Order: sequence, then structure tokens, then C-alpha cells
Amino acid sequence: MTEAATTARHNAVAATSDELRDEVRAWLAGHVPDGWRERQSGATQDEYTEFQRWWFAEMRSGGYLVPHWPKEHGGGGFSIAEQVVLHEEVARAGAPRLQLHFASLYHLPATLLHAGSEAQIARHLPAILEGTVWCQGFSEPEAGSDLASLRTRAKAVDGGYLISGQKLWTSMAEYADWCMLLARTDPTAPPHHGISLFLLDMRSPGVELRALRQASGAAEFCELFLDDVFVPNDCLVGAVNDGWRIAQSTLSAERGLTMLELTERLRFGFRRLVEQLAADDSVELADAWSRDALGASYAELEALRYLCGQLVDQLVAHGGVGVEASVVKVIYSEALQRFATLAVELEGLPAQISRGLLLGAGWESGHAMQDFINSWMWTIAGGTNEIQRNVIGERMLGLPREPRATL
Amino acid sequence: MSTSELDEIRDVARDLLKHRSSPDQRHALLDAGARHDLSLWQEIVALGWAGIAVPERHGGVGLMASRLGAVMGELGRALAMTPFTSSVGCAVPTILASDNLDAIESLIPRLAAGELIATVAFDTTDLTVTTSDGQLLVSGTARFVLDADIADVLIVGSADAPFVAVVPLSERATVTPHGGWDPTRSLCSVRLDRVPVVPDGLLADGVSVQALRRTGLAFGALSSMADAVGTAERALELAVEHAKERRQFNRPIGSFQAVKHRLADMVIALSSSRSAVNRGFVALEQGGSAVEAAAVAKSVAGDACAAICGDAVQVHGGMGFTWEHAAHLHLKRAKLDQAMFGRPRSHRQILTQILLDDGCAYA
Repeated sequence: MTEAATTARHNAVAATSDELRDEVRAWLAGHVPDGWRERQSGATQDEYTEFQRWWFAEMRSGGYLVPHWPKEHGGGGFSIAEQVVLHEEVARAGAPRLQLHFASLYHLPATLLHAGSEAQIARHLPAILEGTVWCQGFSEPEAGSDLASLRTRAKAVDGGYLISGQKLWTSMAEYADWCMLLARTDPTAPPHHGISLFLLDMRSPGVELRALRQASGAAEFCELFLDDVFVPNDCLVGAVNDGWRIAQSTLSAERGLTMLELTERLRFGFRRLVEQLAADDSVELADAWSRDALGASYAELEALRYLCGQLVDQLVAHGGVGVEASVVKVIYSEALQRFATLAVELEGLPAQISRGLLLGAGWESGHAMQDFINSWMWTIAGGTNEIQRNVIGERMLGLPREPRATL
Repeated sequence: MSTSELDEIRDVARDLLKHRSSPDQRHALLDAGARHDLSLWQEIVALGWAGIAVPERHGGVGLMASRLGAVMGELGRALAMTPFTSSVGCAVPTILASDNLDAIESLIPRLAAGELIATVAFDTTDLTVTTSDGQLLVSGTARFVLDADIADVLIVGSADAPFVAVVPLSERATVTPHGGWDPTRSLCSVRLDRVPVVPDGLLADGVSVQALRRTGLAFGALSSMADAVGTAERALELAVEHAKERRQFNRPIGSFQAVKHRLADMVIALSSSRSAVNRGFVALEQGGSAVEAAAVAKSVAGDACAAICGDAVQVHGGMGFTWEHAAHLHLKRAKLDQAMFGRPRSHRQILTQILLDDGCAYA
């Protein structure tokens, strides 16, 4: 019944050859290991990263690791429509997510291709294909939603900069070789205009890490302490004091495709839940609330898929997405949270027993409580939903900004 | 159908309604106690829109459900007082879905030309049929029938009657307006006393009856949600304009997060609602299940659009509670849309049943 709705989505993508879809689907069928979710449940952090590196190598051998990179840098040179097909098929196959290398494959190359020097591109992109892990050092303890107030200082010295400060929520920093770092180069300029973007070698003297255990119990994030860390001039990206603009301008295409993949993954997560319910006689679906909530969840996910399809159409037509991405982010994250809430509720007490964390499965691991707890990652990260509502109000509706507090 | 073509139809409709269904014209009609804007309906008919979802071979302009949805959205937006939803949005596709070629050939061209107005009553009580001189005579009572006071024919059915049929709203049919809360539309009760079925008007009997009735209800539900999204969209726009202009504490009230976030929430809810509804019309074009399409639309948009219109009243403050301001009209319209053709929670139950019966069929 929903196949019609599927084909209704993104006209532009429908024109892409079925050949690619068939090819990707066949490759994934032969390479996504059966039962990987079960085997990875309860895996240690090291077992998890080993599995991530293995899947990274598999995807590379299949030619699907960097379809979005230009061909001259070792990428697939896929059109956006072709990337959409790949993301959809990866979601359909329930493949592991490349979380360890996410910043390496998406944020860093997008940033360098947009604002980096030829030397930076030549040095870092090939290394990423060999497995170099990047993390992102943006947020700070005192600079979350108000990221532009960040305090990490970069002082110009002979041949480079000395950077001191503290970063928070640097994902995968424990395994990272390099860090994309925002630091203040001009403390006298207005907040947005005194920030620069640096490439930081994590082995530099003065870098210290402390693992940050999150609510789920996993430790994917770190605190990063920087004490007079020297960064050479050739590791500054773009112009000095232009870091804020660069960091803001490189996320557009990736956001649209990520939303699409996560939405498709959520759809298949929903499907697994329904199959589970249909197979498990012990689950009560007789009460009106459960039946109402299940129908509501299906309907809202279908509406979200259609909306994502339109976002993708926009992406294919214009190469980027606008403020609508904020609307989609809020809808996705809150739909995810409601879905996880429903799954916990339907499962009842058994959901309260941990079966071991399943890392790398995205936000619909099938472990209801894990997904429920992790759903706050999506309502908080990437600009909290409250910030998104400001963005929608101000940039989409044109409402006046709130007056700034005087400091 | 391409996005630009749809935009064009939407623009034409919006422009027409701006001039022909303006707040002043609406006030004049409402003050006179009218529940129909018949001259607007004549203009819509003259534009060919009554045949907007009718195949060309039956006198229409081609079966394009998205186009139908776009026009219904504009009518809801403009609070237009026409029988479009009942006749074009619901009755016409129901007759087409019957696959009863005789009925289609005798009724659809006249409906598409606007010579006839039709409405539906799928929950008629005490619905019976008797035969007299080879004629089928229908009796029964229906309540909450849209536009029955100006419709020429009525499609009747019920959850247990073994037929769906078209009857004329002739002198043997007693139509009494209910005086509904939404003053832009007309809800009526209809009592049928041995009304003869129109020639070729037996749309379904036997096993196909309930399928056709459910499909007809689905067309009504999807149409009501197109109307609701349009009306909520306009209510939101009014609220945003007000939040930019109205100043308190020396600031536009839209600069306060309490107001700004409420408006952002309305955008978010409207965005989901619009997607659910547009998805439904696209699904119809591609031969998808009308029941599923309508249930998704009603589940998402039914409660959300009513809530958006309620929030719009709230954002307007005291002004939003006055009779003069349009906010209450949008709210009343959205509440009727929410309640018609199955309330949202009934549609969510339908979806759950589909999922549990058929959960693995979608891949």
C-alpha cells in the first residue's frame, strides 16, 4: 500500500536509472552481515570501532564510501539524485552507519572543498580514504546554543597559532587523528567575526582528552582540553576570522541527505516494530491508546517521508536546502522521540531490561529504551529544537529577533 | 503532474478567490444569513473546475487528484462557501470509483459541467430499498449532510445497507438545515421517503458495497483535510502578520519567544499536515489505496489544523475573539473538517488495522 507513496517521492530521483538502485541493492545484500545487530549488541567500544573500520573498508571496496566526493579526489562523483538512491538503499538494507568516520567523510571534506587550500585537500582527503578519523571541536562548556560566544583562544605566534581552551561533545575524539576546531582569533571583534577554523593534529603536545559518558552509557564523546597547542599556519582554513561563515556554509547538502537516510531508517525501524508486534502474542494491542498511537506514528512517519522527498527535490534542483531543513529536523527528531516512547510503552517491563548497547545502528536499534534515551541526542544536537524554532520564526516567518541582552 | 503546473492552478484559484471571496463579500453573505455563495460557484463552474478530477472522456479535464487538492486547499483558505468539497471532491470520485459505467456516463458529464450538484450521506440510518413498478425506492434518514439544501442529488449508503445509490433530492426528500457552528458551510438533515433511485443510479450492490462506501468516505476525509490545511495556512499567516504589527512592552509581540515558538510550532504542524495531504492526492493519482491515503491525512492533519487555528485565535489575543475578525471562522471551519468523514482517531484505528493485517506488505 505504501509503494505508491514511495514512488511519489522526489520526481527528480525517479529519473535516475534503476540500474544503480539494483546494483547497490545487490551489493548490500551480499555485504551487510546477517545478524550484525544481535552480534554487536553489548560489544565493547573497541569491538565496535573495529567493526566500524571493517565496514568502512567494505564500503570502500564496493565503491560506496565517498560517492559524494568529486572524482578527482577519489570519490564517486555521484549526482545528488544518485546519492539519494544510495542513501535510500543503505537504509533499506539496514546497513551499519559509518559513525566513526562521519565527520571524516562529510563535514571535513565539505569544508575543505568549499574553503580549504589545494595543499590541505591534497594532504587530507587521500588520508581519509586510508581511514584517518576526524572529530569536530565546536561546542564548549559555556558555548552550546550560543556557539558564537566560544572562548577557546588562538593567539598568532611565529609560524602559526597557540590555542588554549576547552571543547565539549567532540564525538569520537578518542579515536580521532585530527580535529576540525573553531577558536577565537580576534577577541575584540563582534562574536561572529573573530572566529577562525583550524585543522588540529590530535597528537600535538598540549592536547588532552577525557571521555564523556552519555545518558545511554556509551562514551562516544569527549571533553577536549587544549593548553598552548601549536597549530602551524598551513592548518588555518580559509581566511583568518572567517571561520564562523565557513562552518555555517558547508552543512547544507549533507543535512538534506542525512535527514533522508535517517527518515528511511526510522521507517524500517517502525516496520520492525510492527513485525515484532504481529509476531508476539504477548503484546497487547487491544487498548484504544495503543491502537491510536501506532496509527498516529505510521501516519506521521509517512508525512515526514513525503516532506523529506520534497527536501530532496529541492536539493537536486538547487544543490542545497534552505530554512526548511530546520522544520524537517524538528519534525524528524520529535517523531523519533514519539516513536521510541511508543516502542517502550508497547513493550512494557521487558523494555526496561538492558540487552547491551547496540552502537552504530542509528536511532532505531530496536532496543526500545536505548532508542528512547538516545532520541534526546536528536532534539538537542545540531542546534536544539528551541534554536530551530527561533530559526523558523526569524528566517522563515520574518519575525523580529529578540533584543540582545546587554553584557 | 509537475510542481509548476500545480503552482499555476493554485495561483489562478488564489487570485480569483481574492477578488470573489473577499472578507467584505463574506461578511455581506454571512450578515444576510446565507450559507452558499452561488455566484462564486457559477464562476468556478465556468472555469471548468467542477470537472477538474474527471477524465476527459466523461467531459472533464483529466483525472488529476493533486489539482483537485490544490483547488480545495484554496477554497478552505478563502473560507469559500461553495458545494465544491461535497460535489467535486467527494461525490464525483465516488461515482467514478463505482466502475458502474452506466452511472458514470449518465451522471458524471452533468456533474463535471456543473449542471448538477451532488452530495453524500454514507451513514444514513434506517436505510431501506423497496421495489415498486420496477423502480427502486429508497427510504432513510441522514444527518450532517453537507450542502443538501442546494444539492440536486444525494449518494446514500450505510454500514449495513446492501447498496449504495444516487437519489434525487426531490419533493420526496425533506431537507432541513441544521444551523451548524461553521457559518461558511451548510449541514443538513435529510429524510428520504420512498425516493426513486435516479436512472442508472445504483452504484453498488452485493459484495462491492462496503468497499465503495469506505472509498467514498475516504474521498470525503481527504477533501476535508485539503480544506483544513488551506484554512489553517491562512490562519497562520494572519497570526504572523499580527505578531509583527502588534506592539506591547515596546516590542512587536512576535519577538517574544513565547509567541515566536508558538508560531514556529504552527509552521511545523502545518508542514506535516500539508505533506500528509499532498501525499494522499499523489497516492490517488498513482492508484494507491484511498482508504490508507485518507487515513494518513486525517491522522496527521485533522487534529493539527484545528489546533493551528485555535493557536491563531490565541496569538491574536482579544481581537481574535471578536466576531469581526476571521480567526474564529478558520477555527470553526477546521473543527468541522476535523469532525467530518470520520474523526482522526477513527482513522488512526483504521491504519493500525491495516498495519496489523498487512504489516509486511509494504517494503
